[in-house]
Amino acid sequence: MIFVTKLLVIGVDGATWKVIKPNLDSLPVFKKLCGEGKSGTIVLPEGEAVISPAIWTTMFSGVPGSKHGHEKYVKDGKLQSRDDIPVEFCWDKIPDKIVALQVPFVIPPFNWNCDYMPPGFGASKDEAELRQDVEGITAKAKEILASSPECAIVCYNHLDRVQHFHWGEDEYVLEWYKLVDSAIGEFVDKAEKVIVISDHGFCGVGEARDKTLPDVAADGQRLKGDHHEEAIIITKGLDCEIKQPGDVYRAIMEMFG
Amino acid sequence: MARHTTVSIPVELGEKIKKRIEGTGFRSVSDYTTYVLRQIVSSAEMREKSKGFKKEDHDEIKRRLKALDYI
Repeated sequence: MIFVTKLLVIGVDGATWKVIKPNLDSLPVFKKLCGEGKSGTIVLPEGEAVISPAIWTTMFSGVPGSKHGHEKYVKDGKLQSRDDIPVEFCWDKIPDKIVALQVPFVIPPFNWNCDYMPPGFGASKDEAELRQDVEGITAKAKEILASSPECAIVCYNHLDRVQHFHWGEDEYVLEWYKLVDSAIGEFVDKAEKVIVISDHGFCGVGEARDKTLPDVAADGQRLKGDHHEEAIIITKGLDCEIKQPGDVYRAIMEMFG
Repeated sequence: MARHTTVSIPVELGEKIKKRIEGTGFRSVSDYTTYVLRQIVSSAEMREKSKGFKKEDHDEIKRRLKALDYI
Protein backbone atom coordinates (compact mmCIF):
# COMPACT_ATOMS: atom_id res chain seq x y z
CA MET A 1 0.00 0.00 0.00
CA ILE A 2 1.33 3.46 -0.84
CA PHE A 3 0.76 6.17 1.80
CA VAL A 4 1.00 9.84 1.02
CA THR A 5 0.83 10.70 4.71
CA LYS A 6 4.20 9.58 5.97
CA LEU A 7 3.69 10.29 9.65
CA LEU A 8 0.62 10.50 11.87
CA VAL A 9 1.12 11.67 15.45
CA ILE A 10 -1.85 11.00 17.74
CA GLY A 11 -1.66 12.77 21.08
CA VAL A 12 -3.89 11.48 23.86
CA ASP A 13 -3.66 13.80 26.84
CA GLY A 14 -3.47 11.89 30.12
CA ALA A 15 -3.47 8.38 28.63
CA THR A 16 -1.87 5.87 30.96
CA TRP A 17 -0.77 2.22 30.79
CA LYS A 18 -2.45 1.80 34.21
CA VAL A 19 -5.75 1.69 32.31
CA ILE A 20 -4.67 0.46 28.88
CA LYS A 21 -2.55 -2.59 29.75
CA PRO A 22 -5.05 -4.43 31.98
CA ASN A 23 -7.82 -3.73 29.45
CA LEU A 24 -6.12 -4.38 26.12
CA ASP A 25 -8.74 -6.93 25.10
CA SER A 26 -11.36 -4.16 25.38
CA LEU A 27 -9.18 -1.70 23.43
CA PRO A 28 -8.63 -3.39 20.05
CA VAL A 29 -6.94 -0.45 18.35
CA PHE A 30 -4.41 0.08 21.14
CA LYS A 31 -3.90 -3.70 21.21
CA LYS A 32 -3.25 -3.88 17.47
CA LEU A 33 -0.85 -0.92 17.59
CA CYS A 34 1.09 -2.48 20.46
CA GLY A 35 1.26 -5.76 18.60
CA GLU A 36 2.33 -4.30 15.26
CA GLY A 37 4.62 -1.62 16.68
CA LYS A 38 6.72 -0.90 19.74
CA SER A 39 5.27 0.30 23.02
CA GLY A 40 6.98 1.79 26.01
CA THR A 41 6.86 4.31 28.82
CA ILE A 42 8.17 7.85 28.77
CA VAL A 43 9.31 8.94 32.22
CA LEU A 44 9.19 12.71 32.36
CA PRO A 45 12.39 14.21 33.72
CA GLU A 46 12.49 15.48 37.30
CA GLY A 47 12.39 19.22 37.51
CA GLU A 48 10.12 19.57 34.45
CA ALA A 49 6.49 20.42 35.20
CA VAL A 50 4.12 17.48 34.63
CA ILE A 51 1.55 19.76 33.10
CA SER A 52 -0.04 19.76 29.66
CA PRO A 53 0.79 23.28 28.38
CA ALA A 54 4.48 22.64 29.05
CA ILE A 55 4.74 19.13 27.67
CA TRP A 56 2.79 19.64 24.44
CA THR A 57 4.94 22.72 23.79
CA THR A 58 8.10 20.68 24.27
CA MET A 59 6.75 17.84 22.16
CA PHE A 60 6.32 19.97 19.07
CA SER A 61 9.16 22.47 19.54
CA GLY A 62 11.92 20.33 21.01
CA VAL A 63 12.51 23.01 23.67
CA PRO A 64 12.43 21.80 27.30
CA GLY A 65 10.00 23.38 29.76
CA SER A 66 12.86 24.88 31.76
CA LYS A 67 13.70 26.97 28.66
CA HIS A 68 10.33 27.89 27.18
CA GLY A 69 8.63 28.55 30.56
CA HIS A 70 5.07 28.00 29.31
CA GLU A 71 3.20 26.20 32.10
CA LYS A 72 -0.23 27.80 32.35
CA TYR A 73 -3.21 28.32 30.12
CA VAL A 74 -3.85 31.60 31.94
CA LYS A 75 -0.95 33.69 33.18
CA ASP A 76 -1.38 36.88 35.22
CA GLY A 77 -5.07 36.89 34.27
CA LYS A 78 -4.35 36.70 30.53
CA LEU A 79 -5.43 33.74 28.43
CA GLN A 80 -2.23 32.53 26.76
CA SER A 81 -2.11 32.15 23.00
CA ARG A 82 0.51 30.72 20.65
CA ASP A 83 2.05 34.16 20.33
CA ASP A 84 2.90 34.22 24.05
CA ILE A 85 5.17 31.18 23.74
CA PRO A 86 8.75 31.97 22.69
CA VAL A 87 9.51 28.90 20.58
CA GLU A 88 9.39 27.83 16.97
CA PHE A 89 7.17 24.83 16.56
CA CYS A 90 7.77 22.22 13.90
CA TRP A 91 4.89 23.63 11.85
CA ASP A 92 6.58 27.05 11.89
CA LYS A 93 9.70 25.52 10.39
CA ILE A 94 8.03 23.36 7.73
CA PRO A 95 4.65 25.10 7.38
CA ASP A 96 3.45 23.34 4.23
CA LYS A 97 4.14 19.82 5.37
CA ILE A 98 2.16 19.62 8.59
CA VAL A 99 -1.50 19.74 9.53
CA ALA A 100 -2.09 19.91 13.28
CA LEU A 101 -5.49 19.49 14.94
CA GLN A 102 -6.29 20.48 18.51
CA VAL A 103 -2.87 20.49 20.13
CA PRO A 104 -3.64 21.45 23.74
CA PHE A 105 -0.65 23.59 24.64
CA VAL A 106 -3.13 26.47 24.70
CA ILE A 107 -6.89 26.66 25.15
CA PRO A 108 -8.73 26.62 22.81
CA PRO A 109 -6.40 23.92 21.49
CA PHE A 110 -4.26 24.95 18.56
CA ASN A 111 -4.80 24.14 14.90
CA TRP A 112 -2.38 24.52 12.00
CA ASN A 113 -3.52 24.37 8.39
CA CYS A 114 -7.03 23.40 9.45
CA ASP A 115 -10.03 24.87 11.23
CA TYR A 116 -11.97 23.35 14.06
CA MET A 117 -13.58 24.95 17.09
CA PRO A 118 -14.42 22.47 19.86
CA PRO A 119 -17.57 22.69 21.99
CA GLY A 120 -16.92 24.66 25.14
CA PHE A 121 -13.74 26.07 23.55
CA GLY A 122 -12.02 22.76 24.38
CA ALA A 123 -12.30 23.51 28.12
CA SER A 124 -15.28 21.41 29.03
CA LYS A 125 -15.96 18.83 31.70
CA ASP A 126 -19.52 18.26 30.52
CA GLU A 127 -19.93 14.66 29.31
CA ALA A 128 -22.13 15.54 26.35
CA GLU A 129 -19.71 18.25 25.15
CA LEU A 130 -16.74 15.91 25.55
CA ARG A 131 -18.43 13.16 23.51
CA GLN A 132 -19.41 15.66 20.84
CA ASP A 133 -15.81 16.86 20.72
CA VAL A 134 -14.37 13.34 20.31
CA GLU A 135 -16.73 12.85 17.36
CA GLY A 136 -15.90 16.25 15.91
CA ILE A 137 -12.13 15.79 16.11
CA THR A 138 -12.39 12.30 14.61
CA ALA A 139 -14.48 13.52 11.69
CA LYS A 140 -12.03 16.37 11.11
CA ALA A 141 -9.05 14.00 11.34
CA LYS A 142 -10.55 11.79 8.65
CA GLU A 143 -11.14 14.80 6.44
CA ILE A 144 -7.56 15.96 6.96
CA LEU A 145 -6.07 12.57 6.17
CA ALA A 146 -8.21 12.29 3.05
CA SER A 147 -6.34 15.35 1.74
CA SER A 148 -3.04 13.48 2.26
CA PRO A 149 -0.80 15.81 4.25
CA GLU A 150 2.78 14.60 4.63
CA CYS A 151 2.54 14.84 8.41
CA ALA A 152 -0.65 14.98 10.48
CA ILE A 153 -0.94 15.66 14.20
CA VAL A 154 -4.26 14.93 15.95
CA CYS A 155 -4.81 15.37 19.69
CA TYR A 156 -7.53 14.29 22.10
CA ASN A 157 -7.63 15.83 25.59
CA HIS A 158 -10.79 14.13 26.87
CA LEU A 159 -9.25 11.36 28.96
CA ASP A 160 -7.44 14.01 30.99
CA ARG A 161 -10.71 15.80 31.71
CA VAL A 162 -12.50 12.61 32.68
CA GLN A 163 -9.68 11.28 34.86
CA HIS A 164 -9.39 14.50 36.87
CA PHE A 165 -12.84 13.86 38.30
CA HIS A 166 -13.40 10.12 37.85
CA TRP A 167 -10.05 8.44 38.49
CA GLY A 168 -10.72 5.25 40.42
CA GLU A 169 -14.14 4.75 38.81
CA ASP A 170 -12.67 2.02 36.67
CA GLU A 171 -15.65 1.11 34.52
CA TYR A 172 -16.52 4.72 33.78
CA VAL A 173 -12.93 5.63 32.88
CA LEU A 174 -12.60 2.53 30.68
CA GLU A 175 -15.68 3.57 28.69
CA TRP A 176 -13.88 6.77 27.76
CA TYR A 177 -10.74 4.88 26.76
CA LYS A 178 -12.94 2.67 24.56
CA LEU A 179 -14.42 5.77 22.96
CA VAL A 180 -10.98 7.18 22.16
CA ASP A 181 -9.70 3.76 21.05
CA SER A 182 -12.59 3.47 18.60
CA ALA A 183 -12.10 7.05 17.40
CA ILE A 184 -8.42 6.52 16.65
CA GLY A 185 -9.30 3.32 14.83
CA GLU A 186 -11.19 5.33 12.22
CA PHE A 187 -8.04 6.85 10.75
CA VAL A 188 -4.91 5.29 12.27
CA ASP A 189 -4.31 3.11 9.21
CA LYS A 190 -4.09 6.10 6.87
CA ALA A 191 -0.39 6.82 7.42
CA GLU A 192 2.84 4.95 6.83
CA LYS A 193 4.32 5.65 10.29
CA VAL A 194 2.42 6.29 13.51
CA ILE A 195 3.25 7.74 16.91
CA VAL A 196 0.66 7.51 19.70
CA ILE A 197 1.78 9.44 22.76
CA SER A 198 0.47 11.01 25.92
CA ASP A 199 1.91 14.06 27.66
CA HIS A 200 1.64 12.48 31.12
CA GLY A 201 -0.13 9.62 32.84
CA PHE A 202 -2.62 9.57 35.70
CA CYS A 203 -2.84 8.25 39.24
CA GLY A 204 -4.73 8.72 42.45
CA VAL A 205 -4.29 11.87 44.51
CA GLY A 206 -1.05 11.60 46.50
CA GLU A 207 0.53 8.99 44.21
CA ALA A 208 2.31 11.33 41.77
CA ARG A 209 5.97 12.29 42.03
CA ASP A 210 4.95 15.95 41.92
CA LYS A 211 1.47 17.03 42.97
CA THR A 212 0.02 18.95 40.05
CA LEU A 213 -3.68 19.31 40.75
CA PRO A 214 -5.48 20.52 43.88
CA ASP A 215 -7.65 18.23 45.98
CA VAL A 216 -10.79 20.25 45.37
CA ALA A 217 -11.82 22.10 42.24
CA ALA A 218 -12.83 25.77 42.28
CA ASP A 219 -16.50 24.74 42.13
CA GLY A 220 -16.11 22.50 45.17
CA GLN A 221 -15.99 19.21 43.29
CA ARG A 222 -13.35 16.85 44.67
CA LEU A 223 -10.66 15.84 42.18
CA LYS A 224 -9.87 12.15 42.24
CA GLY A 225 -6.82 11.96 40.00
CA ASP A 226 -3.50 13.69 39.52
CA HIS A 227 -0.90 13.81 36.74
CA HIS A 228 1.59 10.96 36.83
CA GLU A 229 5.10 11.30 35.44
CA GLU A 230 4.83 8.17 33.23
CA ALA A 231 3.36 8.72 29.78
CA ILE A 232 2.60 6.20 27.06
CA ILE A 233 4.45 5.84 23.78
CA ILE A 234 3.57 3.54 20.88
CA THR A 235 5.34 3.77 17.55
CA LYS A 236 4.73 1.91 14.33
CA GLY A 237 7.22 1.93 11.48
CA LEU A 238 9.42 4.59 13.08
CA ASP A 239 13.18 4.36 12.62
CA CYS A 240 14.07 6.33 15.74
CA GLU A 241 13.20 5.97 19.40
CA ILE A 242 10.97 8.35 21.30
CA LYS A 243 12.24 8.48 24.89
CA GLN A 244 11.15 12.00 25.79
CA PRO A 245 8.44 14.34 24.45
CA GLY A 246 10.96 16.51 22.58
CA ASP A 247 12.02 13.46 20.54
CA VAL A 248 8.72 13.78 18.62
CA TYR A 249 9.86 17.18 17.33
CA ARG A 250 13.24 15.74 16.39
CA ALA A 251 11.60 12.79 14.59
CA ILE A 252 9.38 15.16 12.59
CA MET A 253 12.27 17.44 11.63
CA GLU A 254 14.42 14.47 10.66
CA MET A 255 11.71 13.13 8.37
CA PHE A 256 10.54 16.39 6.83
CA GLY A 257 12.94 19.22 7.70
CA MET B 1 14.27 21.43 2.97
CA ALA B 2 12.68 24.79 3.97
CA ARG B 3 13.48 27.74 1.70
CA HIS B 4 14.99 30.86 3.23
CA THR B 5 15.70 34.42 2.24
CA THR B 6 18.44 36.57 3.77
CA VAL B 7 17.57 39.66 5.78
CA SER B 8 20.24 42.07 7.03
CA ILE B 9 20.12 43.67 10.45
CA PRO B 10 22.62 46.09 12.01
CA VAL B 11 25.53 44.45 13.80
CA GLU B 12 24.69 46.20 17.10
CA LEU B 13 21.15 44.84 16.98
CA GLY B 14 22.48 41.37 16.27
CA GLU B 15 24.76 41.61 19.32
CA LYS B 16 21.86 42.73 21.54
CA ILE B 17 19.76 39.82 20.34
CA LYS B 18 22.62 37.39 20.99
CA LYS B 19 22.81 38.57 24.62
CA ARG B 20 19.05 38.47 25.00
CA ILE B 21 18.69 34.87 23.87
CA GLU B 22 21.38 33.45 26.15
CA GLY B 23 19.84 30.73 28.34
CA THR B 24 16.60 30.64 26.36
CA GLY B 25 15.29 28.07 23.90
CA PHE B 26 16.39 30.09 20.89
CA ARG B 27 19.36 28.55 19.15
CA SER B 28 20.43 31.54 17.02
CA VAL B 29 19.80 35.20 16.18
CA SER B 30 17.95 33.94 13.08
CA ASP B 31 15.63 31.77 15.21
CA TYR B 32 14.74 34.68 17.49
CA THR B 33 14.31 37.17 14.66
CA THR B 34 12.06 34.74 12.79
CA TYR B 35 9.97 34.24 15.95
CA VAL B 36 9.51 38.00 16.46
CA LEU B 37 8.61 38.64 12.84
CA ARG B 38 6.12 35.74 12.85
CA GLN B 39 4.42 37.25 15.90
CA ILE B 40 4.07 40.59 14.20
CA VAL B 41 2.76 39.11 10.97
CA SER B 42 0.37 36.70 12.65
CA SER B 43 -1.02 39.42 14.95
CA ALA B 44 -1.75 41.49 11.89
CA GLU B 45 -3.41 38.49 10.22
CA MET B 46 -5.49 37.76 13.34
CA ARG B 47 -6.73 41.34 13.41
CA GLU B 48 -7.69 41.06 9.76
CA LYS B 49 -9.40 37.71 10.22
CA SER B 50 -11.16 38.96 13.06
CA LYS B 51 -14.09 37.08 13.90
CA GLY B 52 -11.61 36.30 16.52
CA PHE B 53 -12.36 36.01 20.13
CA LYS B 54 -14.30 38.72 21.81
CA LYS B 55 -13.71 39.62 25.44
CA GLU B 56 -16.81 37.62 26.42
CA ASP B 57 -15.25 34.54 24.81
CA HIS B 58 -12.03 35.03 26.75
CA ASP B 59 -14.01 35.42 29.97
CA GLU B 60 -15.99 32.25 29.23
CA ILE B 61 -12.81 30.28 28.52
CA LYS B 62 -11.22 31.48 31.75
CA ARG B 63 -14.36 30.54 33.69
CA ARG B 64 -14.24 27.04 32.23
CA LEU B 65 -10.52 26.67 32.93
CA LYS B 66 -11.13 27.73 36.53
CA ALA B 67 -13.79 25.01 36.85
CA LEU B 68 -11.16 22.53 35.62
CA ASP B 69 -8.62 23.95 38.08
CA TYR B 70 -6.28 25.12 35.40
CA ILE B 71 -6.19 28.57 36.97
